[in-house]
Amino acid sequence: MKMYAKLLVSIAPVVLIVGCTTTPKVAEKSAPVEERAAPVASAPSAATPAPAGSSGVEVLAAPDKGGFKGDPLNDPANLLSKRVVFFEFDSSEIKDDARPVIEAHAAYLAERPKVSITLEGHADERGSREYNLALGERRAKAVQQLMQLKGVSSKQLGVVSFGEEHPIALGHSDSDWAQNRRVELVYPK
Amino acid sequence: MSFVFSRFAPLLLVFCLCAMVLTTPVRAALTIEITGGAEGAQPIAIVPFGWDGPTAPPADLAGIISADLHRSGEFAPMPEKNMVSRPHEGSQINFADWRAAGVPNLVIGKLRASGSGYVAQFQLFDVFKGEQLAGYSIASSEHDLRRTAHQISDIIYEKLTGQPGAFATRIAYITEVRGANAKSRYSLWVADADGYNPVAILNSAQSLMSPAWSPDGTRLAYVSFERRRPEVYVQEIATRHRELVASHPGINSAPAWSPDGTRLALVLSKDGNPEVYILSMRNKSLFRVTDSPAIDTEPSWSPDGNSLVFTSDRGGRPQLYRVAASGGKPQRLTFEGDYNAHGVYSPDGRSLVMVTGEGNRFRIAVQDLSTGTQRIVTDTRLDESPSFAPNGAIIVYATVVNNRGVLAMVSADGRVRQRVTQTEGNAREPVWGPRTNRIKP
Amino acid sequence: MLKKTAFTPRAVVYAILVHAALIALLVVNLDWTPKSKPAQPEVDTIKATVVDASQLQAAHEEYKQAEQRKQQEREDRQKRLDEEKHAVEQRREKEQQIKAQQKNQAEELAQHKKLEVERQVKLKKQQADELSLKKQLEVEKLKKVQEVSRLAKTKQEKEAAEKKRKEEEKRLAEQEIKRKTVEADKKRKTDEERHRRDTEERALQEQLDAEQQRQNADKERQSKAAEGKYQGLIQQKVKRNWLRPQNTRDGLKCTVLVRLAPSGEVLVARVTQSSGDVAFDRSAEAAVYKASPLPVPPDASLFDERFREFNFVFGPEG
Repeated sequence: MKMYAKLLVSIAPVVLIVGCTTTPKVAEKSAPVEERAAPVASAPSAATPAPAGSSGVEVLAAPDKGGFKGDPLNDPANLLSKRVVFFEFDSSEIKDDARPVIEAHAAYLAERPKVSITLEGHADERGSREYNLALGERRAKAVQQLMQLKGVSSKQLGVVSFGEEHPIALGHSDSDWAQNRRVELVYPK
Repeated sequence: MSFVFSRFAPLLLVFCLCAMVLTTPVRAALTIEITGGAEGAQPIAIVPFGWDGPTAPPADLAGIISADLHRSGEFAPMPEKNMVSRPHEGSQINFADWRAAGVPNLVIGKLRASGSGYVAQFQLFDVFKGEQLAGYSIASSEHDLRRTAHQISDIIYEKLTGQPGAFATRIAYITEVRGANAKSRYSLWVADADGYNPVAILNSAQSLMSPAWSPDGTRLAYVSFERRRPEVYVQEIATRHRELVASHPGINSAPAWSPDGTRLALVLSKDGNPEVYILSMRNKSLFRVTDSPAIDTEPSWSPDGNSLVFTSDRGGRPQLYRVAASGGKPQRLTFEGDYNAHGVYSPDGRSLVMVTGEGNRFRIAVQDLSTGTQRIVTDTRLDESPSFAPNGAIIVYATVVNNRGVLAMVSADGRVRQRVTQTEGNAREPVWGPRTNRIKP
Repeated sequence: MLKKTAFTPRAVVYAILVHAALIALLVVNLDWTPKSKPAQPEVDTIKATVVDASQLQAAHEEYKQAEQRKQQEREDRQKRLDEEKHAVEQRREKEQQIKAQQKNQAEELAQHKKLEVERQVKLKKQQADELSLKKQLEVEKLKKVQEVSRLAKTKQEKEAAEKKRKEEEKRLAEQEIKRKTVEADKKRKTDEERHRRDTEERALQEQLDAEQQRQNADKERQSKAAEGKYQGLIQQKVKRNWLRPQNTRDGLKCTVLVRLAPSGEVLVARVTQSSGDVAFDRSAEAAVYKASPLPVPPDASLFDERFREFNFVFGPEG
């Protein structure tokens, strides 16, 4: 416990300074909110999200290694082009159609120990925000666990939860929510 | 003369009663039972305040008071056009007029310039008895006039209901304004309880979450994603000075001040999964309260500071549990429905307000802690973040109306619901601040 | 018959009391009305105490002095009453003394008379004795010659004297008996007269009472019907004017005492038993005031008896 405290105390100022210098977005002022262009590019938006309930059969049929040169990550026909997996409500269980996608990425990362990714967990807007934040983390960790099982080092897998803060679909219907209950696999630029 | 009479009035009364007893044959006094009656807001007339300045009055105090009392759901202010007269002094009141209008309560007042500021004077009358119930003169400034009006509302409310008012309080909330390029802008606001005078104390390009008032109303703790992950900050409202208080690996979230303001309960997932901790604000030491492989989050202190209510899915679905602040075995509190989260104690500690889910409907419910009975108080479907007013009479919460996040209020019994005045964007996570400078009538 | 009852002393006392009550009520009302329109705004500044403490002190002092004055007055009155009572007692004592004296005197007189009679009897006997002695002496002088006859004569005379004395005693005793008989007779006659009068009066009173009861019963039957009717009317009107507050607990109940003018106008409506909820209590009072004037019976006695002052109980349905 003391260790943590010490660590926190010694790190806190550094963290604060870093926080202040690297986040010009946080303005401490009382002026009304104004629209501003984003100073930093957002995390790569996942490619076309698979609609919930779509089968994995199509996914297995897709690969066509012969026609693409370069990093398989950039092959739109490769399974690796899919970087989002979806979940049921209040669940962090990896669905059958999501497993091949995760496994493909796991294989890619296992071959490249220097590449590390961030697993971003998200939830739909229903229920409480704090619970959803925890749920997002659990989903990301579920993906992380499966990837580790497939030989990816834990050092390559960052986990962060955004809860219900960053929805993809802004509506309030079942199909909107289905798109928002997700884990995004974010590769560095 | 009146004084002499009043001094002998009791004697005379006794004499009269004796005389009546003597003349009346011994028979039980007549008692007439009245049951039923219509239920509704109590009429009250709030006469526009007098003002003799050369320009327009700096604030419409009567208008602000009317809106407050109307919002409580318990009063129906009389429209100004229906008023037969507009007295500003007690001597100008013709009670017969107001009696004829069937208005039992009358508020009059006046505003005058005094030095660099103002003095607001008001009187509350019982129209039928012709008695003054309250009368105050309050020094104010141009900036504080709205607040002064809210203080007057509090006094009137307490006089007429016996419950302290919560109009002269503030709420904090978060807004998100979505830009054309799909980038959002987030702000943390502090506003009067009626939604007026909003002041942003923080703007961010990243999400903000879970504002929490310190018990003295001077600071707010909140979660910020400004470094692309959830961390807990504490910020002084007056100086804007802020401090990062929790930045462990994983989740740092759900801050909740202990009633004495010395500790901050929060949720950290640094040890693998979210657990409830207590952070001492004096020496920054951490104490882990819960220990479960499940999600444990959203701690809320009991008013006595001895226990915490939190959300956990250790039973499979999110439900509310209570645990001693010193740790130990948690006890499950909610059993109705398969989704109960965000439990917050009422100020008297007798009930909990929460989000309860049923299919796709997520509504606000109040549970009596002694009976365990849960009552749903809202009827929209995406309600969240309930927070009690300091008098426990009203709950502020967030919901979605026409695809827009809005703030709303509901009386604790669920009978009166109302939207909170709001400027722009999607509002969410309202949290009601403490009562800080109450005038006791 | 009605007239007769109206003029019994009791009725007069009642009338006075009712008038006093009415006057008192008027006075009390006189006091309340001006209070309802404060000429001066009573405003307390936030920083200042809500009620002026010095005024309170002054009022308290004044009240205390008034209390002392009242106490003094009470004591004086008590003293006067005590004195009067004492004087009355003294007078009564004196009268009793005088009566006792008179009684004693009468007894003394009777004793005296009796003694006088006895004395005279004695005297006569003495005289007779002396005479007989003298004759004896004369006879002794004659000695033997007339001894037998003398003895006989003496004896005869003695017997005669004795007889005379006895007769006298008997006469006196008879006289006494006769006097006592007359007195007793007189007393008996007086008692009888009084008893007769009492009985008559009692009978009359009983008759009157019975009549009164009959009337009361009739009136009660009528007034009960009227009372029920107006009770219903009042109930309806107040119920129509009752606006219960929202957000109150279930099962609240409060009692409101109401005092009416004969016109039915509500003079006072005041919660005497609170529901514990200020808003609920206030709504009940307001309902009564808003319903003013209440429908009341035109019959003054029924109004006085049942509707001048009564209670409302505001409660939950059913």
